[in-house]
Amino acid sequence: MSDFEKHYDQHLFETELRTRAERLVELLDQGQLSQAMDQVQQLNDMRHQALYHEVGTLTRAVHNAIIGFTDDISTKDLLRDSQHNIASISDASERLSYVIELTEANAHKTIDQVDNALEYVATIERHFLQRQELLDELALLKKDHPRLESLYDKACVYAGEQTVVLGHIKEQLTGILVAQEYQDITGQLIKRVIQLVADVEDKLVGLMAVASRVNSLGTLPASAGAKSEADTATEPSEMEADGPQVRGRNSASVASSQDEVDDLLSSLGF
Amino acid sequence: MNKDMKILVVDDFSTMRRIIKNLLRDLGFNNIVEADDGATALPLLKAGGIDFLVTDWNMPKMSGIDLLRTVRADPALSHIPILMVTAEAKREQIITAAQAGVNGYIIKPFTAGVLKEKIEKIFVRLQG
Repeated sequence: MSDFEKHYDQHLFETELRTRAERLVELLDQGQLSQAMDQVQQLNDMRHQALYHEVGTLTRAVHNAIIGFTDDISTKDLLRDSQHNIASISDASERLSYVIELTEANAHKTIDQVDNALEYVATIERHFLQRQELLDELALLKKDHPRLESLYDKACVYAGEQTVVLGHIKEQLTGILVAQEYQDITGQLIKRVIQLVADVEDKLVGLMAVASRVNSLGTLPASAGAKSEADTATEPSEMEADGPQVRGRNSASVASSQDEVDDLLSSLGF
Repeated sequence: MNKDMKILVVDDFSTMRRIIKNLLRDLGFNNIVEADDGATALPLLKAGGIDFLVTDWNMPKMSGIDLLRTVRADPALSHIPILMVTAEAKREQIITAAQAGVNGYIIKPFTAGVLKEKIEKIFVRLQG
């Protein structure tokens, strides 16, 4: 619903309320208590109707948002050709699941390369042991050759520096490895969002189903005040308005329940 | 601490299993087996030979907390030290795990240093 329509509806609603309220005062002034009570009942019904309308509009918006998550086709097309164009929550979830898969694959790729790099580090570490053996030999030789003293000292300094740097490289590689744990955490969060999206729509549809049943029992005047937002909207009939049965029938299948959600919303004028 | 001890790493995310395995290897532990949830971990535990258990909490089929309780309730397994590595960070959850008999608790994300420190702490406490 556009902001203009919302404003317009709101305005109508307030005018109607005001008229009825004035009529109520009038009736009370005239001492017509029974008619005044009728007026109170009608005011109450109006409030219910407004709420019902808001919930319906909200449910439709959520439903379309979920569909829009997958396809960039217009809402009207969706409503007209629900069989072919209705994407489902499962499609939206699939996209999110794909994010999990993709990050997992990439995390593994990173870990593979870190593993390879750590192998090289291990090789250098082995070479360092051999280097130490050479240094030890040089240490023995320098006793007889004082001129080797400064060479030995230099070699020791280089060796020490290299060992420190290799230690840093190993530390950094371990850091890269541990950083891949983001994949576990983001994966868990995405899984929860998938569940949340499904739950929100399910709860709203459930609410609409209950509201429509109340409607069909005659507590509320059907579709009075609740203007149809969708061009495919039909007047709620007794059969269609019996929401919970429609919903319960195919609840095992996500795809068909998506169609049912649409049918239900359309049948109620949303 | 015996570096040859057999460690079972349980996590439903293969990346996390690899990370933990790598870090353990870096600490000198090379005898590591893996499972992707409590249900697949239990047969491995019952087969015997596992000296140390590292487990996630939130997993499909059988969660880490259920695995922890099952291990503690089984006289043949109850002695195995258990370290929980999990994103579950609520106070009540940590208390629940402690009451169920966990030996250590690490909250994800964690560092290599934390893992080393907690494992060492567990074995110091067990020997002391």
